[in-house]
Amino acid sequence: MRPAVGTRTRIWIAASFALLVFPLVRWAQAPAGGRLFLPRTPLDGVRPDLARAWTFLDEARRAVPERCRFTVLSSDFSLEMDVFMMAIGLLPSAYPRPSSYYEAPLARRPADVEYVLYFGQPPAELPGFRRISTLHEGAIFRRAPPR
Amino acid sequence: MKTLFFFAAGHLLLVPFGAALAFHPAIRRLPVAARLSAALAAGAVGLTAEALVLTGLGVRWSVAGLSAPLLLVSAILAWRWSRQPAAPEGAIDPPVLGRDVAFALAGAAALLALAHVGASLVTERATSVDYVFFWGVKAARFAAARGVDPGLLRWEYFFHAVPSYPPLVPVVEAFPAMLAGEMAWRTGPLAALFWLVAALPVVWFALRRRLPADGAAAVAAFWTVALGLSIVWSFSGGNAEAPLLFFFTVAGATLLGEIPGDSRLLPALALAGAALTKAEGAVGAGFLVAGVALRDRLAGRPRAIARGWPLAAAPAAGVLLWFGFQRAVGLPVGYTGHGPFFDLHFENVGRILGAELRNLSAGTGGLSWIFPAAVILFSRPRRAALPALAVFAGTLLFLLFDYLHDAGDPSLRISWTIPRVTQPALSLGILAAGLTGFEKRR
Repeated sequence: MRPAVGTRTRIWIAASFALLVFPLVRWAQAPAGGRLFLPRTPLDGVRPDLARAWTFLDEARRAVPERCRFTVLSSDFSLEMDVFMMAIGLLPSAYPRPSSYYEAPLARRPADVEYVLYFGQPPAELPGFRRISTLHEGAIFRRAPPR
Repeated sequence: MKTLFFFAAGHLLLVPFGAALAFHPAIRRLPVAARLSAALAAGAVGLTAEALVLTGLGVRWSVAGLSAPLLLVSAILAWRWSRQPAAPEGAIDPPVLGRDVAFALAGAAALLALAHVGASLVTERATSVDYVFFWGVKAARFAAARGVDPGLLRWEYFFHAVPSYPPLVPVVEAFPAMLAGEMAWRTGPLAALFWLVAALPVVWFALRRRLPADGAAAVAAFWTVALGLSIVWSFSGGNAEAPLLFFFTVAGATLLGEIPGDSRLLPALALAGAALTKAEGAVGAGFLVAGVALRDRLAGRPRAIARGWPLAAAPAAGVLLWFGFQRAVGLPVGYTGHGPFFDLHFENVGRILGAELRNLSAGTGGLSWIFPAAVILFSRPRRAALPALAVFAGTLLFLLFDYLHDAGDPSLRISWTIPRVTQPALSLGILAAGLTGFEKRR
């Protein structure tokens, strides 16, 4: 005959199930459509604003050469640093050049930039560059050849 | 699918890289699963050390170039160690699985928690933003550069990525990226589940040596549920928290559950891994070693302090390796602080301590902390819990010192960091509570 389960063991197991109530409550409170979904980016469930930027960069990296020199701009300036940080990883062989850093614009855009990855609503014109691609969440500009 | 396969393969290959440790006389008598965990710890530390040395020597990484030396050294050591007699009979009791209802219930709770962690990571609801800002970024760039890229770490516009952070996670994540030819960004956060599960065999073994089977199962279940929920709550998918938790748990569980005369090779190696994973790892290792020495001293164990030195030497060696690399490639040597060392704002002490305690929710309204704390409080004797208490108190004091450097209100930074950084202390606290709480039944 097996020994009975001790009181302490019962308490520890009960405590384990008590902990599980917390995610269950959160799960039940989530909107039905948001409980189970297949994400498209690593950020869908935590930062939807950055997930949009991620989708943009993921598309953009396929449209520029692997070892290009690029910078990042955003119509939402508060997101520009975030987009820049992610771009360094998503384009791992390319040469990133910041246009701003921690929301402080650089005095001059780096002179050797070949591509501008523009997240958000792009301007009609970007001096010295021409638009080569329009993406879902932004556009890509390439340095215009000198006249 | 291809990147998922290589992502898994890249992590699983860490086991053969460190397989020699599983054949060491002190480790050989452990259950197979715990030996695999030990091999994983050794593989991760070995790969990181080798990667640093190769870059320091100017040798570009390749999959074969990184794998072959580790596999060769591991095979030679395994052959040598397997010919030596194992640890003395009786020093390590073989663990026995319980088969009663308690074991079934404990298993169910643990599996539910792991399913929750897996679902949260797969649906990207537990991703750390730092993963896409710098942990994964470093891994992707190191893989592309075929080395720990000093130029990148020196670059003034890479300051946000905290270049002084130790390199284990970027190196270990760069390896699967090199295998796949690209970074597995979507699957990367799942590494947190891998490290959590990898710690479980050591947790189970350490508990089972000291507790009856049903008690060990119950405590292991609580540990799995509490840490699983904490990983999700603190958004630890893809950052360095889960590997740090793994190394601390392997070291802490082994030391908390040790029987006088046990080898300390595994905890020493795990503490070296912790020091190579995060700066907090080295600090926490110091507190853990001090707590173990104090416990042994109070218990009247012979050579209590002397036996602590090799334990302290291992994480120190890890730190020295990283600092030595920094020096060799011309990086600033040391960790980056949050301002001048003694520029402290003591007017924030009350606010910081309050915010520290408020953020110990662990996704369970604080129950994950309150329950083990209550068990330790009502248990006699409590000496076995000293190492865990040292890590808990030490971590909070270290963070207090760090937050005191903030001139403004540090509440927001505390809410970001405390849930993540206190996970090793939570892990050890639960294990200590389990060991002290069941002490009378022995």
